[in-house]
Amino acid sequence: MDNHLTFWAYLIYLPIVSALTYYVAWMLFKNGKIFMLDIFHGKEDIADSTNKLFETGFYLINMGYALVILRIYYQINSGQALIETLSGKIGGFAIYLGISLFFMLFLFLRGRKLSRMNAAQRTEPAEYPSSMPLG
Amino acid sequence: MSYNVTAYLIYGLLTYWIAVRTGWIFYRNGIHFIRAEIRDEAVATSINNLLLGCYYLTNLGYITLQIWHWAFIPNFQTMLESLSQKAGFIILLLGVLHAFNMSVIYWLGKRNFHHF
Repeated sequence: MDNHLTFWAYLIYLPIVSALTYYVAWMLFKNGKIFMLDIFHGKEDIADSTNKLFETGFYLINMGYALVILRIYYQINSGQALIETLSGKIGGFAIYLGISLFFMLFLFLRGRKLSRMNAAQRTEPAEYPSSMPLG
Repeated sequence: MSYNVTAYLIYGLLTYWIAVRTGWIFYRNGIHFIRAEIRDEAVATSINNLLLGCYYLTNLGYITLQIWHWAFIPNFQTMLESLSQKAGFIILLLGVLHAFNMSVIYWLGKRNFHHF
């Protein structure tokens, strides 16, 4: 009944993973503002909103995933096993975080490209056209 | 107080706080997208209010429903495990729903006004 090393593994895992997520999100969305202003042709309010919404979604998905994969299914009974298990968990999560960062960057770049193509096709200045409203 | 009841308390406070805060962020930032679709300011505001109500009812209801089938918790470590599993699932679900909503906004925007 000495499960307490598993418990220590959780206590080490949680702060590292939250700090990693926080840092990546902070870095991405500090730089994402420029992309958003480009995509929405300099409209400050909608650019800010989109940036905030993306940031919230990024936090939710990554923190949720970090919590879901927390559980360690076998006994840890030595310091060596603790280090090995933690390196597997944290390394795997870091790779996942890197892939999702790449995916966000891809979305930003694609949005920017589409926005530029649209702007090139259009002659009038960017504003909401009076096409059929939904409501 | 048993471990189960402690876990319910922590789970309830944590996930309710996250869901309410997230809903508030969506409410404040989503109004620009509704305004872009619907010109009438009063209609846009009331749609936004109704959406916030729907969000709170469905998500808080689902969070509360999760307590129903919670397994027995014998010790502190198990409590941490099942808490993180349940809360993590809720947070991940909120994130996935949010990603879906963003893609709907993107799709609507592409269809109605060539804005992107």
